[in-house]
Amino acid sequence: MVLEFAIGAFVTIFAIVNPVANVPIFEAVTEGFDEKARKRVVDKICIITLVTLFVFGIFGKWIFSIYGITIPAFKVAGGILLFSVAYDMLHGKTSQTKFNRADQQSIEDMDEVGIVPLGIPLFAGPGSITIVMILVSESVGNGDLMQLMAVFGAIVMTVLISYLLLRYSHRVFLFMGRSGAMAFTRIMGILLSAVAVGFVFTGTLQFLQEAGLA
Amino acid sequence: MDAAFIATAFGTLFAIINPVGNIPIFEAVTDGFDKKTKLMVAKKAMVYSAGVLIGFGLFGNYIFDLFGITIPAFKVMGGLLIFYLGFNMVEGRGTAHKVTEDHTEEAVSVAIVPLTIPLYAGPGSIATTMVLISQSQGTLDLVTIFVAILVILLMAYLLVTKAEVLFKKLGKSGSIAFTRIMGVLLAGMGISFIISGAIEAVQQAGIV
Repeated sequence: MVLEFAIGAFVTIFAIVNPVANVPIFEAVTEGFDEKARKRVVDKICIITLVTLFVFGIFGKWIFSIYGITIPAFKVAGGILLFSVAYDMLHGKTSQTKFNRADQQSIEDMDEVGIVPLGIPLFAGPGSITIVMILVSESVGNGDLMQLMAVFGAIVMTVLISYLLLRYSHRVFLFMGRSGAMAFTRIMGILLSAVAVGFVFTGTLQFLQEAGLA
Repeated sequence: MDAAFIATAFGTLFAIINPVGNIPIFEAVTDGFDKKTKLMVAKKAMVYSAGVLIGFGLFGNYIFDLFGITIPAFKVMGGLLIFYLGFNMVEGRGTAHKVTEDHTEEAVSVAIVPLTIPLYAGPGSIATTMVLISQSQGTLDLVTIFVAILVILLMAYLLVTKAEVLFKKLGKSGSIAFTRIMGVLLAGMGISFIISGAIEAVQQAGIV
């Protein structure tokens, strides 16, 4: 059922990008920016997220095949990676894969902040890239064009919602506060842990089947 | 001289040593080093890799027998190393834990691990070299393999030195972000090795 897949894709991508929890970080990093500069940063974040996720969605499999990485192997690796991100989220933390101290310290250019580190890796980080690639490979594997479109549609939806949340970040932050974002993150974390484990199982099953062992 | 063998040897070694593909990983791992240090690291990595590959090519079987290691087990270990490396990179840490004034000591260690092992002369390259040698007939074939290895490593060195210019443009935060994406790749590679190693081990044990 395409609808099921589409909803699943959207929820997973939204969970890993987690724009809600990213708002406080955005606020902190763009503190002191004037309204115009802020808007520029938001635009950059959304564009770079869209582009990055699309590029890896389309070319990801090819890039990885150059390194001899098969889809099942990537599912297992991705699952482990996602689980570590989800584990942090369960504890209400933003994963180090999305934003860590080094990122904070490396912020030099006011303008580029929207691309790095806010765009990548906070919004479009290893986790979201991984999820997008796995979802794309699943829909391609099922030969289902609708599912494929659903994945890209989910990316667009997520970026759109991110855009709104970021532009109204003050209000969002007022409404949710840090603890609200944390609570939200924890719930997303539970979801993603399940998804991550699922990937590890599916990936393992797949390569066992391919090796003729299952 | 068998043209087909030269082509096979060179082709397989090129694919597995992956001088082009490893460029971004080299850059991610030597992030923060100045140009002189980077060149030194590249040179050392290539020399060590040549040594490792030729050494294992000639004596690999004896070494493995001596330590009671099988190739599949070796692959799994290599895979774990690569995965661990990738995982660290994904959290934005690279392999440099501290940025110190004198990079030399740190740089040399980076040249060995992870650049030589498990990147350029890792389980894949070592295993491939050993397999090629087992398929070779006569000294000429053997020399071909070693020449191919040297040529490929030389290419890797040149490519890395040229690429340096491009990567400077990333800036500090750019390289951290870039390192993360490379980390995902390495994590995938690591698991690939672990899986293929594990499957080989199971098959060799005759369970299947």
